[in-house]
Amino acid sequence: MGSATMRRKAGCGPMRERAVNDIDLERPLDGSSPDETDINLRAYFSRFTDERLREYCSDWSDEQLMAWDGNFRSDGALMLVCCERDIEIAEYRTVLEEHLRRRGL
Amino acid sequence: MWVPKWQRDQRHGVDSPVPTQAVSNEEFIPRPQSSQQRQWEQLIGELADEKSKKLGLPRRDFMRTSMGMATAFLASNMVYGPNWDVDAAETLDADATTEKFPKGEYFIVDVQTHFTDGVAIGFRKAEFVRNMGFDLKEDAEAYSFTNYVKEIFFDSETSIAVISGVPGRETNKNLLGKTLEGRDRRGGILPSWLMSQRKKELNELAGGTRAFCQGNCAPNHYWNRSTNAPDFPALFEQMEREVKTYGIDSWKWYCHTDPGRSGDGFRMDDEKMAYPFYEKSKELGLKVFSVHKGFASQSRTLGHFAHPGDIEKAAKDHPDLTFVAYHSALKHGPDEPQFKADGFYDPTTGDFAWHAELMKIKERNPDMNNVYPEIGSSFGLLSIAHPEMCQHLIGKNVKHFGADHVIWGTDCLWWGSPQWVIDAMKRFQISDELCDKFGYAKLTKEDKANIFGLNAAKIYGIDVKQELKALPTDALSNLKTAYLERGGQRDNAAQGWVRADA
Repeated sequence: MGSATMRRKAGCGPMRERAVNDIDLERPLDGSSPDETDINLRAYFSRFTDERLREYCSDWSDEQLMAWDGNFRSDGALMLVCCERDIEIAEYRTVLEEHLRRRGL
Repeated sequence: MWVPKWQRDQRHGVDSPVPTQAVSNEEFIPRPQSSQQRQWEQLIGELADEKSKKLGLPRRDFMRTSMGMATAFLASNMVYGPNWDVDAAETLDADATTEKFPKGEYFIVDVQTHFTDGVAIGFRKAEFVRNMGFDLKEDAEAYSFTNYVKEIFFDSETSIAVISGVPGRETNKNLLGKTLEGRDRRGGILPSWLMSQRKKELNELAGGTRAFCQGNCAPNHYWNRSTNAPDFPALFEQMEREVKTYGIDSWKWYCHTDPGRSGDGFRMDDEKMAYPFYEKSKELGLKVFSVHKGFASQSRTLGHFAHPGDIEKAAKDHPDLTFVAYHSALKHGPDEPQFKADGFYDPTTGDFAWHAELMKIKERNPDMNNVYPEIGSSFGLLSIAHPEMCQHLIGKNVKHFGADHVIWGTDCLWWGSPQWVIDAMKRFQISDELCDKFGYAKLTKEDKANIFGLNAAKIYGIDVKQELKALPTDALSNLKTAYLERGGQRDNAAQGWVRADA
């Protein structure tokens, strides 16, 4: 996906700035017991800027979403280090959307 | 997009015995190849063209010889400066290298080797194996292990390998309370049951001792949610299984992971969590703890548990245990974005993040002799990305811990066959300038022999004299001879991840 398409898709969330890399954002919202993969995935999103996250649109296909992120491996899993589990695109999308809600985007 | 490095190399027509950029072992995120690394890669190609033509060899075959390896190090010296002991004559005459570095000069014990369960990681030359007596299924699982045997034992001078654990936890029982066995226990890409199984297969095949294995079990793997503390009965049951049934030779801990969903990592000096584990392990007779330290670019919740600061109290409180600090606690490699952060590497002192803390622990405790810095991935990574830091890594490890405490590991297959890392250590030396300025000693052949294998032999209880007699005639050595006679060659293929567009 080209960056122009990305920009056209931007604006799904309200304009609001907030601090990123917040340790509270690393825990699941529902209070369930996380493993290191759950925590590291949320930490990964917490390092995204608001501007970057605003580019996301939920109608993107899996391929579009993976291209937007740019950090997936050729085997289809996210390059997330020191984790027992692989993150596939479905879990990625669910947690990203939860993260967007938490950041009010 | 991330792809295995060998795929990227195929696409770009690159064939190099030494990786010219950092690959990810899934423990850190490397940067794209630098302009210097690109220059080095191009120079290797140009020199290889010229030299292979002179010798009348196809370039691909040339790159798999010791002359190809020497060419890669010579090219590195031309780009980065004279860091490696290599003569131009070695690039055209294999005997020149054999004379300088006789085969079998070192007894090599690699304490950090991996393969993956159920994932085909680039098995490309199965033909030679099929007729050579391996009793392995033709599936992805067998492929990855077969490739491991080929690249570790046939394509390198490694004498003995420790199959090293990765984050993962086995499930003891199913929902009906039935104890699970074998694959049903799951446990990630390299579970304890599989390491044990492969160790046994390999030693049976060899007719001797060629492999040791680690066990992944750690204090936070089985968690009692009602008490919010380790589920000690389940934990001890798994520990007993790993020691008694699997026959593991060391634990492998990742304090910054949490497969038991305890909600946190753990510290090695936590008296409530780690100390009961130590006591149980002593009772079981297993006293070696291999612990991942460094490489922790992940969450703020867990990343700090990879800091080596918790080794000090644990080691002092348990002088009868042995602690091996993997990666020598290198926090970030120079190919990671965080490397540029202020204070990470200070060239005026040679200190770098988290490794310096490990050195200070020994400085504060000169009599503490049960901690061993291991150099897997840190030595290989720095040798190709920052040769000066590489000299500080080894210089400081030897200065503070002693050449009799530095442990050889490579983290291969991530980096392909370990032969290039072995060659790098053979050709490694600390410059006069750094020795003068920082009080490092030149590395002697005796030091290298200790680092390559004699230190690990002490930890794992290997009788070196006996092994030196047995290994050359065991079945694995015979297979290696047959493999080489049939033209078997190293693949020059790193399995670790790099950016596809780099």
